[in-house]
Amino acid sequence: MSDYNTKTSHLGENDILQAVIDETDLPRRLKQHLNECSHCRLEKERFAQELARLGQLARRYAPEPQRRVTLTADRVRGPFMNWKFALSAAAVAAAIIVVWATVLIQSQQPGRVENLAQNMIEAERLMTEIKGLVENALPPVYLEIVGETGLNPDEEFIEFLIPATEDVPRISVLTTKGPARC
Amino acid sequence: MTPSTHNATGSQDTESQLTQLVEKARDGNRLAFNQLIDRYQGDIYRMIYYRIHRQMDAEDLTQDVFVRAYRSISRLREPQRFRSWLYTIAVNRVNDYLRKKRVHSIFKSSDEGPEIQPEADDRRENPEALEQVLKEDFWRQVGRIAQKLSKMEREVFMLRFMDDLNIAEISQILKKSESTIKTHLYRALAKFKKEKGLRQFLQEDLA
Repeated sequence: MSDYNTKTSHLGENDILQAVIDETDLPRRLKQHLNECSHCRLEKERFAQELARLGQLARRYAPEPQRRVTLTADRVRGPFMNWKFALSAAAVAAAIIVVWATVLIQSQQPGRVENLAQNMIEAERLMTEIKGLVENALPPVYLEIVGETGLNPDEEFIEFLIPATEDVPRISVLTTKGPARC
Repeated sequence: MTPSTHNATGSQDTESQLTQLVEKARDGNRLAFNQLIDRYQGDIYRMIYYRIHRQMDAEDLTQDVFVRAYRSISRLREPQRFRSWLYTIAVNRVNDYLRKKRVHSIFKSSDEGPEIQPEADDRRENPEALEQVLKEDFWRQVGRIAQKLSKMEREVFMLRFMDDLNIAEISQILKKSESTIKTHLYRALAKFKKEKGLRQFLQEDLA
């Protein structure tokens, strides 16, 4: 944005910055002013000189390189042709082949299916045991003492002991002549 | 004197010579590529040094930039853009280096500072020692302004005024439009203008 100073009729700081970056980007009026006004031209040149000096000093104060860039064969071949890389890749490939072969051989061994079936039976037995414990955690000997063995109460008995809430009539169970009227 | 817009390729003859060299190098001519190395290794080395301030690492990175350039020059479509293409590789390598250094510094109790030049006791008498003092002061001032700029402003500012590249080249290197480059440059210059220390140093040097 232009900050052309109308009082002094000179370019503002922003215009000078703009002119240093690219003079052609200035509006035509300011460009013309810059060409005609020695004060503004000097201002712009001074700032540009400072920046140019920055580059020159950076160049002067950077140490000279001690080594020259060389393109030796092993450097330009690329990482995929490096012998270390090739050796590592071969080792990884060999390890993958060994692991794969071991798994393949194990899966094709006789008796593997039988072992699997045995494991499944064992797992099923274990699950039955767990279900039994969930229903009644007492060991069989205690069940015998409390007379719980072989007890298989039917639904009617359980209903008698613990009637479901929604089934409990609102009036007395003894009432047989229909619902009571309030 | 304003920074030149083309410092390495002054005339059209030089431009066409350069294009020919790049074309030859692209066809696998190592001799041509060596000529390109002779031409640009100083610029690339300095560009890297300005950003990392470690001479040995700057030399290693310069070597790496040219090896990478040699490996992929066959993919360079426009030979006339060789210089900006080379700087793009260099900018990327510097960023990789600084990123690794940051990660490395997390796992270290104290980060390695910039390379310290051996101090001379007789600085006042020795003109070389005085030059050394000026050099240290200059880089300290540059470091101070660099800290005040955003990453993009810093990169654009350095490419323009320290590496002496023109706006079009910077736009190609950073893959941004020229107007974006100018905007960042404008912001950087506005901050530079307020930096009294470095400006005074430069003005005294000019005087």
